[in-house]
Amino acid sequence: MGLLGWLTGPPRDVTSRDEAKKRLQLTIFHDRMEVMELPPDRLNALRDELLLVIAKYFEVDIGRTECTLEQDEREVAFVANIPVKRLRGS
Amino acid sequence: MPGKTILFTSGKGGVGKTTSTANIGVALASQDPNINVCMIDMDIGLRNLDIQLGLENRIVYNIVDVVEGACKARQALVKDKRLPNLALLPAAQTRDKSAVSPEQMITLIAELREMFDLILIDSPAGIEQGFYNSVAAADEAIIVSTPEMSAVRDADRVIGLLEAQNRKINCWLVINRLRPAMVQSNDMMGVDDVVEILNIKLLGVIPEDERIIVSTNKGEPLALAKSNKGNGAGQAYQNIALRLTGVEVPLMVFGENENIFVKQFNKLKALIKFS
Repeated sequence: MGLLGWLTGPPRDVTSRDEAKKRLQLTIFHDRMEVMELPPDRLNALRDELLLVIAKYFEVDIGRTECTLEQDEREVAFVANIPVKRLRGS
Repeated sequence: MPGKTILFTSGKGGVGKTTSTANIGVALASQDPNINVCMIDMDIGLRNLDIQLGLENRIVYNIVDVVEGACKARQALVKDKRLPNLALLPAAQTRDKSAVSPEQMITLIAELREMFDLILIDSPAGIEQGFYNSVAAADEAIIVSTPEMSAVRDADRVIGLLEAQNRKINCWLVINRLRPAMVQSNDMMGVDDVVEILNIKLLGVIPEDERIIVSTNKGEPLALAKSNKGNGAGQAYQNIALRLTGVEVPLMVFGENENIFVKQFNKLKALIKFS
């Protein structure tokens, strides 16, 4: 191993510390969902109902609609991204 | 002014709730003889705070006797001979968590607030009735967690339960039993990792320290030891006590036996690895 090799050390593997952190973040996210009693199929049902209401007022691009739960600090946020084509006439 | 109540909790057992309560309690009492500190052991049926403090032979009455009216609160308090401004309200050993209700706790703590400036509650492990009894009258909570996955996960659950209370309870994090060498070699989660996941204010970090075992053997909390210097657990507990009284103390730096050149060289190495 040359000087450069010695300086840069062995290739960076995923450490058990990284692994623990990743697994824990995912587990805690699911725990928080469970506490909120919102399993994935309920989330889909929510999205469908929400779209029905929105579609009364806007013409929406259903194919590009995204609904997810995101974590913000200690809170979980429901984020809906619904592209709108045009306003429906009343 | 009525006293403030601080809850020590963790969800998971064995992470150092009782050790932390005992050490922070004696540290608070030793720093200011004018602050009257009371510690309550809420682990009814499995009491241990008495043994950590070396007061196990002096218990006459306990918290269940007080709430059932068998004695006055003053009679059940065990005064620490080393620190006249420190007292313990012991748990009962022969009863269980249902022997006390949250309403009884609120009444009892209201009485103790008139006698003490600070009341530290050592909560039992778990999130059952013993936990809710401990939470009932708490103003602030110290969540104790080790940097291990199961401890952090349980801590998150407990923080969620505290946030769901009707009253606002100020939550602080104490990371216990950190092993700086393992963090440095990426074999253990570090302070930043745990704080990022739990997202609450950090009150302090306690390094793994064998002297904790020895001091518990003797019933003399390590924070009381005269030889507390450098970056051991005893000093870390003293620092936490100072922070609780509003003194700004910087977080301990671990791994100080490395000299500055080695540190700079490692930084350089890390930079090269990233690029």
